[in-house]
Amino acid sequence: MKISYLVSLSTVLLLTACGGSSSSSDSVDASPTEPTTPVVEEGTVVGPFSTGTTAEPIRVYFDLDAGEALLLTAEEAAQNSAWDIAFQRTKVYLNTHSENSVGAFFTDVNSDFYDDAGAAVVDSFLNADADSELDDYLAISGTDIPADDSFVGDSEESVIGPKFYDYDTTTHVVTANDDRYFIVDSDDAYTKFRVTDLTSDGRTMSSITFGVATQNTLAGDIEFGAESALTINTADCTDDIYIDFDLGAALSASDAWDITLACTTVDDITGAEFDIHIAEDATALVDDSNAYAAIDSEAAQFYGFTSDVTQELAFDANPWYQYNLNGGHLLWSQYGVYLIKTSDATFKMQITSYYDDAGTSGNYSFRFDELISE
Amino acid sequence: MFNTSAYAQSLVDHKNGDSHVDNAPLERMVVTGTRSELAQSRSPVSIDVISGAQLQQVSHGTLASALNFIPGVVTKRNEKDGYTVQMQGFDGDHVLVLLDSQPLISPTGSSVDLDQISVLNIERIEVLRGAASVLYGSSAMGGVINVITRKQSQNSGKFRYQASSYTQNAIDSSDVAGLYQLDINQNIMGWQGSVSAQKIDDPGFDYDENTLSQSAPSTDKSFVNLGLAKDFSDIHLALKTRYFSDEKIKLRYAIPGQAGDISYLSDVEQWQYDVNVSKSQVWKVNGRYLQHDETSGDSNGLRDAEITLAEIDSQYQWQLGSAALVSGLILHRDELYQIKQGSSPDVSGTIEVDNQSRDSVEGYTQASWLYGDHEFGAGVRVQNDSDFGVHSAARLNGLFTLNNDKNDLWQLRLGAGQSYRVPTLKERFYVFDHSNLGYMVLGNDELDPETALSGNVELSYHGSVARLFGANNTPNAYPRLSLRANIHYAKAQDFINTVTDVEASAQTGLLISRYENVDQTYMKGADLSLKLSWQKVDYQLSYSYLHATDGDDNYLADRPTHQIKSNLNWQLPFDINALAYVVYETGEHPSSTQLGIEKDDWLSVNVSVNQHINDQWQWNAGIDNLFDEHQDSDAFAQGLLDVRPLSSQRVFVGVSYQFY
Repeated sequence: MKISYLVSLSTVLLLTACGGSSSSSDSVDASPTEPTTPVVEEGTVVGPFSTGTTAEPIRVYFDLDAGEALLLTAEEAAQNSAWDIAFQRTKVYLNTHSENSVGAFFTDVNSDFYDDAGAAVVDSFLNADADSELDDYLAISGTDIPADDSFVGDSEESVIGPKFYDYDTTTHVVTANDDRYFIVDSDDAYTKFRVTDLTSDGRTMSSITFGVATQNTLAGDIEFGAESALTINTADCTDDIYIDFDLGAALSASDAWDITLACTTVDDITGAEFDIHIAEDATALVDDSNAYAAIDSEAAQFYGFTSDVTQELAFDANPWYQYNLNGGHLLWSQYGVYLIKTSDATFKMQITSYYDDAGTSGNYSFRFDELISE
Repeated sequence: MFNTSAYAQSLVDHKNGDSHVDNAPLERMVVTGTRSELAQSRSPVSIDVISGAQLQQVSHGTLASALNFIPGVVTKRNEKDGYTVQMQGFDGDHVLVLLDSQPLISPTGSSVDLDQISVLNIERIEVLRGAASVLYGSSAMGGVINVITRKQSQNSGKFRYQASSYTQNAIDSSDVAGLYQLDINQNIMGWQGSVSAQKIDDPGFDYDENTLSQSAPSTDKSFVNLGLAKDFSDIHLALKTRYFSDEKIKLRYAIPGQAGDISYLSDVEQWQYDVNVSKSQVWKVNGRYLQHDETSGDSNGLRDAEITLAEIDSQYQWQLGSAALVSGLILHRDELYQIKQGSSPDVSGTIEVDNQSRDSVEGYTQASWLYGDHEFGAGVRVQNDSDFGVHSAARLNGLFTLNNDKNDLWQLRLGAGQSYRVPTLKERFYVFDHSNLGYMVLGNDELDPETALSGNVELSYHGSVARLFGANNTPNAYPRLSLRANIHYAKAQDFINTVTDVEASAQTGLLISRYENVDQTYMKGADLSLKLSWQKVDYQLSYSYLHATDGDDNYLADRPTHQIKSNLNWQLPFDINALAYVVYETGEHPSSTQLGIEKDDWLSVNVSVNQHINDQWQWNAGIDNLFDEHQDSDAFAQGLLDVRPLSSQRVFVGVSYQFY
């Protein structure tokens, strides 16, 4: 149950009135005043909570059950299950702690802020405020809580990881997905590869064959060359496997490698794991349809290259804001209502502002209330 | 009198006397083309002049709108509600604005805000079209506007007040803008002292009262000039101090999700100190120190900037055989500190330019030779800069007098050479961090100067209509006629622009833009001008054509292809002078980010009258932008090209009183 953080005005007035009446009589009321449980009206806006500046951001960790922000360092927050949702500049995070794995569900309130083509309806955003969107918020009740599997939490994803194979859940056979290509930007070259063949040996791979095409920008290549095959025997690995596409060989960790596969050597199981990673200084993308015959290095940032592991934030799938709608570089809330499922309860939440009353950005105000399942 | 030609001006000045053409007109002296005083018709570089009196009548206290009067000059309002000029296709960063031949602070890039220069104390403005980096260094690529202040020699005192209203665009119907000027000159113990002050109180205007945002800011400007000058034998000493403050505020946006509003704010304070020592036509040493402190930006993201300029400009005129030479040595320093304020007093700000500076030593020599009625000039400038080392520029000019009858004068002027602009401290050291929104803009300390090769040819005629059409012996001096045709070409390279830094973007996952020497531009065009003067009427018509493209042959945005300016000045009975001038621009090309065209031409019609009632009293009145042609804010917000300026119809009336 949410602990109240605002004292109701009526309670204060009542206490004041009592004090007045007692002073008018000479008697002293020795009995203690009945403790008053502050009442918080549904839809009360809390905040603003400052998330710092771009140069010095602050992450605000909020405990919905307690109704308060917690002062935590990043290290403490990683071990803390009390907080539910966190804010840092434009990003919203959910706790992924094993004892409080928080999920979010986005209701379709205010979906009409976007037209059929998905473009923002500017007037809808500019004319909305916390008051005008309160009714939409209040309309969400426990009956709107979807099944548990509709809630999505934050997650981490490898850019390549296990995406290079197919697993048949019926036959339990693993096969190479040779239709899926990966492009790695590493060591001043772009390498497009796919796994054309693999030999599984229980829970590991004993060999893996790549189809590799290289675009060496330093050498002046403007497109990928012809694909060549590269087979790496991983059956007898004793250490993790580091592959350099340029040399077409497995190297050591200290060399200029492009991708790596972990080596499992537990009991009598030896071989490569079904998981591919890239180097820290490399980026990669998935080219599902073999669409890219070349990478234009001048426009590389627009292809969507990412580092090895990316954090997938549940709120990113349904951003709460639109940017720069009227030329002012401002963030305008859609006033969408999110359902936040914690380990203990389900809440509804609506972000009402990214600014304080002076217009300072990064200051979150929002309203939230617990929903009771019906 | 409202011809911009000093030649025509001098004719008008003397038309009340003998009107015969043989009564040769007196000529105004100009300095900008050669850095030495020279009769305007003898200047190898074509110079236009607008007098201080003319400025007073077409301005509202600053140079901002006044320069729109000058043919071939395009005035633009920038994003900080300041004003810059374009000349021959070069934007405000590439047109040099000088005060007494020395540079001023440029709060935005390289371009001086013309709304921060008062028309007080101005003797004249000289306008040089085309490149002049040999004489003036950086930024003199498209032209030079040299504001020459008055050297008062007589005691005088004058007060002027002017009220104006933005009529239907006024924010409040009772809003009145006030202009107050006080100008006192007094000789005390051999020193010529001057005090002049000006205050502009402008409420701004708004096209649509139903929207929160305001179209033009309310401003409060103050200018104070103090001067002391004395001649010691043939040595002239002048000390000047100029103070300027400017406060602007303009409502812009509602704060999303909050009850408050965001306004654009600007608070500027500037001090200027000049020391000038000179021996007429021989040598001079000018020292200038300028300190500009500014807090500006949206109220939720203010920036503080401290800009300093210091310069010692020395010049010597000498003779080498048959060549007259002018040589100079300039020591120059720029400093810049810029910080984005923290969100509260407890939060430290973000430094965007960290106390950076630039020093340069510049030397130039220009030689000129007389060969009969012709004159030739050649000059070179070398600059050693703390940022990028040695850079140089050279230029040749020629003046060919085809017919040396002052009443039937044909002249051909040719010029070709190099010009350049050095990178600003912001372009070199800026850190603009918007990484929370996915992008950053960074300076680049490896930048080289921008350069251009340019040339121009100008044919001019000064005489009369009768003489032009062969009536050589006619006594009819009027209408006087001046014609001018100028064609110009410039190829500029290494223009500085922001480009995506691929490597840094890939490493950070942000869109990192960095200033680089990348762009090429090609400017070519023509200026045509006709001036006619009768006994009581002066008329001027000018046309400018511009073809400006980048290295990929795409048209450059934000420049009119065609510009027509016309003005008519009529001397009426009772010492009443009436002026009408028209500006028409068309053919501007949209930028790559603009989604379409709302309007690509605009017309401004301006009328005014003034009358000298007696030696003390004078009044004036007029209407600017008679048809209230202005930008459509909605279309502009939708990303459409609308070339009409952010301007408003304005009605004004003023009075001035001369104490002594």
